[in-house]
Amino acid sequence: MMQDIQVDAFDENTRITPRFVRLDAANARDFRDACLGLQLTTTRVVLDLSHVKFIDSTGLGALVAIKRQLGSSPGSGSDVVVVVPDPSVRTIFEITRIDKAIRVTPSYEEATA
Amino acid sequence: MNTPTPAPGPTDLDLVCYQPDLLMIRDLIERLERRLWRCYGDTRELRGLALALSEACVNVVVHGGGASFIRLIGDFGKDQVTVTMLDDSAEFDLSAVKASLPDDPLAVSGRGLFLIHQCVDTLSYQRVSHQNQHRFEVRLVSSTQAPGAQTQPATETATAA
Repeated sequence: MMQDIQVDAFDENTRITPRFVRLDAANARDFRDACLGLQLTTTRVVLDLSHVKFIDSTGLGALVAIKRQLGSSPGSGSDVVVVVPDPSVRTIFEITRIDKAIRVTPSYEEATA
Repeated sequence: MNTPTPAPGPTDLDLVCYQPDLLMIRDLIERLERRLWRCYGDTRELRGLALALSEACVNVVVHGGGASFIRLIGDFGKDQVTVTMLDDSAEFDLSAVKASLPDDPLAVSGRGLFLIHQCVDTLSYQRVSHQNQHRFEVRLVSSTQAPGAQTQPATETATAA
């Protein structure tokens, strides 16, 4: 899984970019575990789903699990932002109201503004 | 943009996978998407249909005690698409389940059935010959492609996870 995820650490945030286009029941748990296994050094973590064109409820659950675990205590990774450029994918966040619990932005620039 | 009218036929789609696991479900849904996109383009309603069917298939594999097969049979009309999903897992009527979001917005699970109900116009169920038969129907309201639409389905570009 790690070979399918790009991790870029900057001064103020860590950008995690899965390079696959489907975040679904077939890979969501591996993605979650890979993210939670990272040694984070920044407070903000940006999950950049720019490549993702399909997400299902298991994929959403993986993002929520990451948010819950990283955001449960102050310090590294406590501020989780999800970048979702694809409007159809973003609609899934909206109808499940996950966008009320996790900050969702259409671009990486807005996530880090 | 006008929605192209597919050629009429009693069965416009017939896909099956045997001993399905999660990767096979993904492949099944990608094949479904390719057929739908080819006939109608990538529309919001059809993305929803594909998501609903994906959720239902995953439900069979994860919660249905497994199945020896899942089969998708589609009828492509001018104004609506109907896909009947057949499987031989434990009897379960998705249409009868109360579909609501979890109270906790940060609940890790509990959104799949809600998404199924949100993404189709009609969902019905029959138990026939020890098989579950769910009928998913979407009306093609929008004649424009989905925002962010792509010409190809969302297939993996990297190594399968």
